[in-house]
Amino acid sequence: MSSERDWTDLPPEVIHLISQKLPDLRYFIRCRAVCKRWFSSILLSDPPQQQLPWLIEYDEQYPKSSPLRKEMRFYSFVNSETCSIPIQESHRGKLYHRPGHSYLLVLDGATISLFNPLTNEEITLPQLPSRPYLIMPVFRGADPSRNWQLDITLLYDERCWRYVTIHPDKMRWQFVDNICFRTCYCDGMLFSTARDCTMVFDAASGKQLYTIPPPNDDPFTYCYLVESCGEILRVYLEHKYERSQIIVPSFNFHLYKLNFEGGKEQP
Amino acid sequence: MITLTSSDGVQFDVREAVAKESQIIRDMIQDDCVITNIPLANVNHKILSIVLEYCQMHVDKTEMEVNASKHQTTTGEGSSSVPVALKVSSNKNLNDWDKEFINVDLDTLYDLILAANYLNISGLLNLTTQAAADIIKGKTTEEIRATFNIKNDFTPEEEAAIRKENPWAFE
Repeated sequence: MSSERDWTDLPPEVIHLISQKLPDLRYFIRCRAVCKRWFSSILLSDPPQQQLPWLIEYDEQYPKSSPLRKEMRFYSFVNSETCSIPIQESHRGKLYHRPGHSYLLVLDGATISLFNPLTNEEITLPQLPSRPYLIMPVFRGADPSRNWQLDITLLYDERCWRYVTIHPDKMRWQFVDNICFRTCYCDGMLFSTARDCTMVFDAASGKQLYTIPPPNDDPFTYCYLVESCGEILRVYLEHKYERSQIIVPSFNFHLYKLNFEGGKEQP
Repeated sequence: MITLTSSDGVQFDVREAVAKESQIIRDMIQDDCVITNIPLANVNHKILSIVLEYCQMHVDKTEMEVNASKHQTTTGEGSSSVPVALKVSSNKNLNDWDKEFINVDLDTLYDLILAANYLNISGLLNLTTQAAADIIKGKTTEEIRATFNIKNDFTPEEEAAIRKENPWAFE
């Protein structure tokens, strides 16, 4: 099927609108390479906001922080494919964390930065008070390049989780008590898992609103939460990344089933 | 009633609410309340009739919901679950209807996108651009060009440079 009309002639704002509705970054980038007009209407700094999350796959061959690791592998739920994005030389040996919007969180010792692998843009954040053992980022706001707030849960040792937050206007870390780990943000609320239940907090006040029970067939293994397209997904991991299974979450509204094709995905 | 005249001179008589699905017509009517005939220079009668079908359907559905909720408030307590269920099913029907409605050939889709953009009908613009994005999904750059009849106007060097920015996307 092909068109008689020349789609080059679409108004730039319409081309931009189409690019915002593409389900995967891969097609977004391919569309830019179609012709000059499409190229100038679709900006790398403005990728589609509503994306299913990619999974970062860690290569078994090299440890996470090995300087020999030259590329990062991602798994996309949209087309059930993995793709490899090369890591710049200057970034090799650093730890990459869960993507938020189009950014990855890069940890190098106690230095944290936000890195956009599409544009190679990097925002360096203030140093953390000390080097954490494990971090879990939580992005708030629509787009980190415009209006964002970054929260991070830090693990300094096995018992001590701390929750810190930073806002670009202030550029300084602030510790928040009472919110626990494995947290994600959506629409003014923070969602946090502790063992089986999901707890919901009001993001502004930090007050706990309610608790959501786990799904009936809760496998009770490692799980975390992901925000995607305005929904919270509870992700369960079974032993390995390759066998991870996503279950449409425990939350009480049927809203969750929207946008999530099939509900279950097997990478 | 308002008369809309297509670029090829065909007249359509529609209810004001239907015409007002278009933001530009809404603005025109607000500016001048005695307006009754609006010529649309950029939309031919074939596309205009499809656009009006969309507007008619969406207005009807919205009015049905409003009536249903009015009915609910007059009948009083105890039946609050009924309109919610009705609303959910009517949204579902409307989504199904949209899906069927947008199942058109590429040339019609192109014309509908332009008409929705020109008339500023946000629902239709969202629906049509989503349909275009769904067509792009799964295609290579070459396939996108072939599908949409787009000529590659990059020099080989320029194209190579773009691909080099994010080579993984072209694999």
